[in-house]
Parts: sequence; C-alpha cells; structure tokens
Amino acid sequence: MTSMAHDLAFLIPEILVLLTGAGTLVCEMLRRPRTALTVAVSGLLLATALTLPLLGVDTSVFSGTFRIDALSIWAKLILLPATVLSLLLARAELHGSDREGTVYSLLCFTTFGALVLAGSGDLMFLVLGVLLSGLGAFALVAYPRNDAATEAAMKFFVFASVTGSVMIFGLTYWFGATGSTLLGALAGLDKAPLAAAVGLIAVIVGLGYKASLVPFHFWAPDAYEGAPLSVAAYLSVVPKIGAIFALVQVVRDLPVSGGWPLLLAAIAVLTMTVGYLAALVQDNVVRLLAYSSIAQAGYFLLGVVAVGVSPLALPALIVFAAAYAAMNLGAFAVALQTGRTLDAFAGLGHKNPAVGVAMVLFLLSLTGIPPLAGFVGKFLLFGAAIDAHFTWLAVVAIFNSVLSLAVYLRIVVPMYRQRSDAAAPIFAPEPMPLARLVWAIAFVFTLGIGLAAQVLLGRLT
Amino acid sequence: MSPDLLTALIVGAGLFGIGLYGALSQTNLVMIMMGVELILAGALVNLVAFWRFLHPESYAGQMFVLIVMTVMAVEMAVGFGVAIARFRARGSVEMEEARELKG
Amino acid sequence: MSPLALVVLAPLAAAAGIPVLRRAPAMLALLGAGAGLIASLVLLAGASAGLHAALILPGLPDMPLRLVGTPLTALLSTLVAVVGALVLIYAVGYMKQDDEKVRFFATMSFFIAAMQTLVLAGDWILLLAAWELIGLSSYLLIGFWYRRPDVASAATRAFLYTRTADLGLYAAVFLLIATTGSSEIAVTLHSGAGASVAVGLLLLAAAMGKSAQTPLHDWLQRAMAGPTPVSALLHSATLVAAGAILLIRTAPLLPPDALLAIGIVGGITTVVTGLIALAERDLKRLLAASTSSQYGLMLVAVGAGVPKAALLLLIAHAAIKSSLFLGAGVFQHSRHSTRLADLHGAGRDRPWIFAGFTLAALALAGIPPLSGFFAKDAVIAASLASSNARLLAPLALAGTLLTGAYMARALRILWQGKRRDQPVAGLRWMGAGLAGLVILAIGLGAAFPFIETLLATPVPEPALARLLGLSAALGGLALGWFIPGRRLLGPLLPWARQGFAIAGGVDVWIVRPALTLARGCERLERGLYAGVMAVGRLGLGLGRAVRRSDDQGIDGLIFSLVRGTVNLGNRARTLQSGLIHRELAISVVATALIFAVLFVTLLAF
Repeated sequence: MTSMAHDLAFLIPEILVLLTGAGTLVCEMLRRPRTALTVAVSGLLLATALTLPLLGVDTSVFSGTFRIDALSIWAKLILLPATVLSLLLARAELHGSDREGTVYSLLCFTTFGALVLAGSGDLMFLVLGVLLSGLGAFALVAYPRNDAATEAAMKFFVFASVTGSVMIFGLTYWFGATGSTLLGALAGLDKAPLAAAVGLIAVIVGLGYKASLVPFHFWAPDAYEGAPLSVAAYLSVVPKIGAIFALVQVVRDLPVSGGWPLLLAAIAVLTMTVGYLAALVQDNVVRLLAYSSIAQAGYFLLGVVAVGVSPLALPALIVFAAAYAAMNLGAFAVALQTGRTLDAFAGLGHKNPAVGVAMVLFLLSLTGIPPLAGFVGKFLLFGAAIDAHFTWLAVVAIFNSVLSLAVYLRIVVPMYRQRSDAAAPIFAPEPMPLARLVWAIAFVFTLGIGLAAQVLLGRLT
Repeated sequence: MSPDLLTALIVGAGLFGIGLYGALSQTNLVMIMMGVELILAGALVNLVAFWRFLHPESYAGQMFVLIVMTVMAVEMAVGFGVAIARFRARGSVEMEEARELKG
Repeated sequence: MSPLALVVLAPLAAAAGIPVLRRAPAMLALLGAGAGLIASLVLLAGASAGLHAALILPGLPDMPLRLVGTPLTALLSTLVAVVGALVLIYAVGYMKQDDEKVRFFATMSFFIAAMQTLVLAGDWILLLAAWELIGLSSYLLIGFWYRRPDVASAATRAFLYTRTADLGLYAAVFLLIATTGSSEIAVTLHSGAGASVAVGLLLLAAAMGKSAQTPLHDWLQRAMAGPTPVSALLHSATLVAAGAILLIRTAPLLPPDALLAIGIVGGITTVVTGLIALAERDLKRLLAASTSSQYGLMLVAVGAGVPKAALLLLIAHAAIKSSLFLGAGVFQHSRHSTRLADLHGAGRDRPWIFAGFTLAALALAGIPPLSGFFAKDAVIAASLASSNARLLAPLALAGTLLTGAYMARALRILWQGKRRDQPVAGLRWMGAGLAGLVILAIGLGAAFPFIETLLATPVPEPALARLLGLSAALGGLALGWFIPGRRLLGPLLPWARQGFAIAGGVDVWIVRPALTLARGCERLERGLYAGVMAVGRLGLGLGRAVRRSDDQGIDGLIFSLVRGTVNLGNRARTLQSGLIHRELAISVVATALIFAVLFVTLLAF
C-alpha cells in the first residue's frame, strides 16, 4: 500500500489535470462557463507548479509502466502552460457560444492524454495515450457543428481510427516477441527482427499520425482549417509534442540494429520538404501554418534520431518543444486576432505595429533566426544530429530553412506592403484582449527562451 | 512455432487485411468504422494467441486484450458521436461528399 | 559598467527609449551615440595600453556569449561609433522635414547597437545574432519610406540578397564549431588546424552578399531608396562593412586557395562595379557602385594575405564614403533629385559643401596627403608583394584607375552647369556632420602609423607601389575630368548601364524566386499531373531549361527553377485531394513501402 501511495505521489500533477477536467465539466453543467475557465486555468497552473519539485527525478511508477523522467516532467512544464494559453485563446474565440465550458473540459482531458503519451513506459500506455489525446480532439474540432467543422472532424476521426488500429495490431507482435508490454523489454527484440520491424512501423504509423509526419499528415491541414482557430493552435502544439516525446520513449529502448534511425531520418527529410513545399502555395494562413507545423515536426525528428547516441538529443528536443510551443501559439494567436486569409494580413505592420512586430518575431523564430527561441532549439537539434553522424540530415534541414524563409515571407511581405485600397477594411476585427494577452506571453517566451537558453539548459543537464 | 499459433496468427492477419480493405474502400463513415473494428479484432486474436501459446505466464497479454476492447468500445462511441454531428449538419455521412477542405 | 557593455548598451538604450518617450528623438539618439563613442574611445585607449577587455554572458551550454575588446575590435568599434555619431548629427538636419523622426532615430540607434555587437562579438553565436539584426535593421531603414513606390521591394531585395548569402556564414560557423568544439572566435582562429577551403569559400559567400561583391552587387544600388544618412551609414561602417570585417577577422584562418578566391572575387568586383559607376546616371547609385568597387579592393588586400591593408582602406573608406553620401544628400535636397542630369552645377550652389565633397572624392581616388592615398598605397603594395601579384596587382591598379575616373566624372558634372540657388532646411546640422567626416577623411592618414603599431603589424610599402598607385589615380582623374564617361566606356556602355547583364541576371538567382513565391504563385500555372507524368515532366522541364538557358542566359534557367519549385509545391498540394480514402491509401502505400524497405534490409543483413 505504501508503494501505491509512493507511486501516486509522483502522479499528483496528472491526477490534478484529470480532476481539473472533471471540475470544469461540473461548472459547465451548472452553466457557469466563466467559472469553468477559472477552474481550468488555475487547476492547470497549480499542476504546473506542483511539477516543479519533481525536476531532476528519474524513476518510474506502477512497475515501470509509467515513467517520471526528464521527458515526462518537461512535457508537463511545457504542455500545461501551452494548454492554459489555448484555453485563453478558446475563450477569446468562442466566448458566448453554446456549451462553451465543454471546450475547456475537453482541452484538459486531451492534455491528460498527451501527458500519458509523453511518459509512457508500456505499450498499453502508448495505446491509451493515443486514444485519450484523440477522443477529445475530435469533439473539439467538431465543436462549431457546421459543415466545415464536421467534415474536418470526420476526416480526423477516420484517419485517427485507422492509424490507431493499425498501430495496435502491429504492437501485438512486439508483445508476442518479448512476452512483455514494457518498453524496457524492447531490447529483447534483436532476436526477432521481423516482429521488430512490424512493431516499429506500427509505432511510426500511430505516433506519426499524431505528430503529423509525412505521409501520415493528411488530416492536419483539413482539421486545422475546419476547427476553431484556438483548437487548431492547440492541436498543432500539445498532442504533437506528446507524440514526439512518446516516440522518444519508444526508440530509446529500441535496439539500433533495427535500422530505425535511418528510417526516421528519411521521414524527417520527407516531412520537412513536403511540409514547406505545400505551405509555399497556400493562400489561407491557417493552412499555411498547418503545413508549417507539419514541417516543424520533421525538425523534431532530428533530435529523435540522435536519442541514445548524443547526450544533446534530449535537451535539444525539450528546448525545441518549448520554443515551438511558444512561437506556434503566438503565430496562431495573431492569426486569430487578424484573420484567416493572407489578404487580412495586408498592411498589418502599419495598422498595428505591435502585432506586426510580434508576428514577424514568431515567424523569424519559426525560420530559426538568432537570437530567438527557434534558433536555439534548431541549433541544438542540428548539433545532436551531427553528433549522431547524421550530418547530411542537418544539411538538408538547413537547406529547408531557405524554403521556410520563403514560406514565412509570404505572410511578412504583405504585412509591410501598403494596402492597394486605402479604404478601411471590410470588417474591423473586434478587439480581443485575451488573444493579445496570449501573443504577448508567447512573445516574451520566444525572446526569453532564446536569451536564457543557458539557464534552461543548466536545469536540463 | 506451434501450428496452432500459426493458424491463429493467420486468422488475425486475415481479419486485419479484410478490415484495412474495408476501411480504405468504403465511403460511408459507419462502414469505415466496421473496418476499423475488424482490424482491432485481428489484434485481439493475435494477442490472445501470443498469450496462450507463447507467454501463458504473463498477465500483461490479458490486460492488453482488455485495453484493446476498451479502445474498440470508446472509439465506436466517439465515432457515432461524430457521425451524428455530421448527419445533423449535412444529412449524410458519406466521405465522398466531404471534400470541401482540401489543397 | 564596463565600457564594453556601454558601447552596445548606450545606443540600444536610445533605441528603446525613443519610442517610449516619443519626444526629442534626435537628441536622445545623439546622447546614446555620444555615450557609446566615449565608451569605445575608452576601450580603444585600454586596448592600446595592452588591456584585454572581455565580457562573458550566458549562452548555450559551454558556449557562453562574449564581447571582447582586442585592438582590432576596439578599433573597429571606434570607427563605427565615430561614423555613427557624425551621421546622426547630419541626420538631425536631413530629417528636419520628416514626420517620422521617432521611428527613424530609434532604428538608426538600434542599427548602431547591432553593428557594435557584431564588431565586438567574441564568439560565433553572438556574431550570427548581430549579423541577423543588422540585416533586419537595414531592411527597416532601406524601407523607411515604405509609402514610396518600389521602396518596399528594394528593402526586401536587400534583405533577401544578404539573407541568402548568410547561409554561407551559418554553414561555415557550424563547420568551425564542429571541428574545433568551441564557439569562441579567438579559439577557432588559433586552433592551429586552420580551416578547410570549404569554410573559406562559405565565409566568402557570406561576405560577398553583405559587401555586395560581383555577382551579388545589384542590391546595393537599389538600396539607395532609403534616406541618405542610412546610405551613408550602410556603406561606410555598418552593413556593407560587415562582410569585409568578417573576412579581415577570419583571414588568419584561411588556407591559400580560399585567399586566392577572395582576391579574385575582389579584383573582378572592383573592375566590374568601377565600370558600372562610370556609366551610372544617378549620383547616389554611382556612389553605391563605387562602394562595391572599394570593398573589392579590400578583398584584394585580404586575398593578398595582408588583411591589415584592407583594414586601413576600410577605415579610410568609412570616413570618405560617408562624407560623399552626406554631400550628395545636400545636393539632393537642393535639387530634389539625385539624377546626374538634374545635378549639373549643383556644386556651385553650395561651394563649401562642394569643397568637402571634392576633398573626399580626391581622398577616395588616392591623392596625397589625404587618407585614401595611404590606404590605397597599402593595398597596392600588398597586391604587389603577394605570391599572386600577376593576377591581383593589375586588378588593384585598374580599380584605382577607375576610382579616379568616376570620381572626376562626378565632380565635373557637379561643377559644370548653371547655379540654381534653392534654400535647404537644416543645412547647419548637415554641414556640421559633413565637416567632421571630411576632416577625418583628410586627416586619418596621420593616424595610420598609430594603427599599425596598435596592431603590431607593419604594412609593406615599396616605392614602386606608391608610384604606380599615384599614377593610376592621377591618370584616372584626368581621364574622368576630360573625357565623358560615355566615350570612355565605348562599346561597354550599354552593358555597364544594365549593371552587366550576367551580373544583373544573377539578381534572378535569389531575389526573383523568393519574391515570386512570396507574392503568391497563383499566377503561374497549376499543373495537375499524375505521379507517372511527373517523371516525364521533369525530363521535359530539364530539356526546356537547358534550351532556355541558351536563349536567355541564366534568367531563363532560374525561372524554370522557380517554376519547378512552385510546381512541386502544387504537386504536394494536389496530394491533399480532400478525399480521405485517397489520402489514407497514400499513407498505407507509403507504409507498405517503408515495410518493404525494412524487410529488404533485414534480408540483406
């Protein structure tokens, strides 16, 4: 019983997230959306605060099935604040709509799923994490209940259920080969290469869909476009980072002889290139950002291929995850305030210089320009990949950065060009103080992570 | 590998194949969900076979079976939720009609 | 506070304070620049006394950011501070009529702070950061008058040109850090291993972009769209200088082959852009071409293995070129144009300004005892003493000759013609800034012995170099004064006017692709081709590209390339058919492929 209490003590943040979700739901039942938001925000912030004392812990609970290590702890420290920002965005966007509180509640539950993913030490947790972080997401995407939203949710659901079931089917072979569902037992796979290959592909399919890696990315642009913008922002950050961290949890125990590093490197190249190429021809800012977030997932893989070889890999992934969360949420927040089309951005830099500067900063950070957060993250990722003798991959990634500049300039250039029609915009977007707050916070983090990388890394190593 | 295990695995793989074909070929959301269920049924057959013939001492196999059954049930429930929402908005759950979002 | 920090923080504080306070922007900017100037003088005094200042800041793990005050960096920092302060004084007058002083002075102060960070940076990461900030602030400044037509595109062009070349710097820095394991510049320079030719060429690429060397020189002339003080600062001590400074600082590291490449690029640039300057029809664009040409000479000196000669020319050129631009700005205000056709006789309007302009022009040509003479002398001597003297020396001499010719041409146009007196607002401030810089342009030569002792490396100066350099300069001046540029160039004229077609065509390499992409690719056809067709199309496209490149030179090739990229983008887009089955099927086929590959490798091993 004491060991049970001991295990649960480590899981206080996760438990708190669940309780927060439930509490938020109760508030919604009482028809008090404002209270629901307060409960959700304060619960998640409290969970973040309660995670801090865990820093430096490296252990596992429930006989090794759930890991409390740097990845899962930092996942909480990154994803919980990111969810708080998404909650604020959702409030800004969906305020006053019917059943507003369910959105907050679903966001909490979905984040719980992402946290389960990031700490999973067992195949069953992997399956549950994918399921939990997916269920709420479908409902969130379908929330507006109009044509586009339901279409997006339906596609998202079909993609998720097919890839998820394929993953489960493949994973059964890992169980057959090792006799255990623990990820720690995967080292035994080198005796069964065929089963290892099937399971590996299954994991790549299941987690690759969640992280929107090419060729499992098709759902992402459609789902982001159909969903409320705040949900799109959330989906591009929280479940994605959870899935990447889960991938790390899997491959760190996988024998290298399985050839997974090369396979992931190839997927990384494909993901970066296809993502940016497709982003190049978008007219819709949401779709452009969706493809950009697909491409960014490829950059994450640079760190994943180095796991187990380079000591830099984990810090690089964590720093880039934090940077990515900040800059991507910031860019989506600006898009929420400005509009969904490229035309809406025309002349933004002159009309609203503060927003303009913030957006340029987010986009430059996404490109990876020093001294911003994105640069530090990418710099470390490149270093990790070079450490792991994937220099060619780092070079490809650098070349993709040229492409990415062209992509992001597509937003920046109209912002600083004068509007052809000097007349007032067709509709003046209502001021959104919460969206402004979100991008201001993201702005501070995007700058701060870049400038304080030393401090951050000191905590990591 | 015992012949029994092989038979069971072949059945599991067969269910997977039929399920995947169904999920890819059907245009109705409900039919796609049936395909997904078949894939998961294949996974169940595999799991039970692996547990019974290879690792009878491990309880993890049984646990995994329970988890997969939960996944099936939950996925069905959510799937019908999505289908209902779609039907209300559009009056049909045909995937061929869902092609407004693209590019 | 250490002077090292103050050098950067003073202008930075001004940049931050101006938009907050929103009043007296000019005075605040001057205050920041003045404090920075004093700090950098203290730093220089310390460095000449042998004090080695360093400021270590937190950065990446085991790679702290640092600012260092070596003699070289202190000297460059002083140069930036002096030119920056004088240009700001001038700008007080120049911007008198403008409504957006706050934005202007804040960005200028930020620009100076970024440049100070660049020259004082003691590690590669900080240098990269400063390099980017310079690019960004110059983008903002060139595009300052964004309401005027073409200005935004000029700014974007400058940004893209330099950004693309920056990739060379990124790659070089990654290679350097990877080979030496340290990000500290001093460590990588003295690691003893030396850098590979690849690193040298990558650094050269970065410098070519920033310092506007052929074939990447086009953006500099277009960047004239910005206000004149911006041009003065850009050309003398900041943006353009960054490339040369990079090479001067890394010269000890570079292998002979890379040095030769640098020398050749510099030599070609000095001649090509010299000819362009001779054909130019706009005073500011003439000066811009001349800037490329002078930086070409500096690269010749670096290539000859005497970076100190390049440094002398850099310092002298900073004072001279900013004086020339400031003078040109006055003429621009008095005639409301920078076209040479409108400027006939503008010198007679304001004889004092013209006198300053003439002195600076003569200094640039290399007439003793003005500062340019000593610097040119050092460069020519370096090229003569180099092991590749046969290649470099004629190019350096040709560059000197052309310098004399185009400066004499400008002087003649400004002097010959009718006087048209028009009042110019803010002349006093402009005159003060100009006077300070002209005095520097005249007298800096006297400071060169001090600089040489400071850096502890004497520069070779055989009498032959002096004789050749002086005769080239005088010859050039005579040619330029007596023979119109049109006749001088002969059949080269139309070519030079277009900025040399090959060179101008390279514009298309970087800028047009990005701009085309950036401006929405919908104009280009969106072919929908199936996967099999793609292969055939690629072959067809290649053939077409080859034919086009015969027809239209590089232009056509590049356009095909752009179209190819966009087509690829469109193809990636057509995969996204919106039909979930098709998409799922693609995923499944891809998975099967992955499985097949894994399976084959399993069988193989």
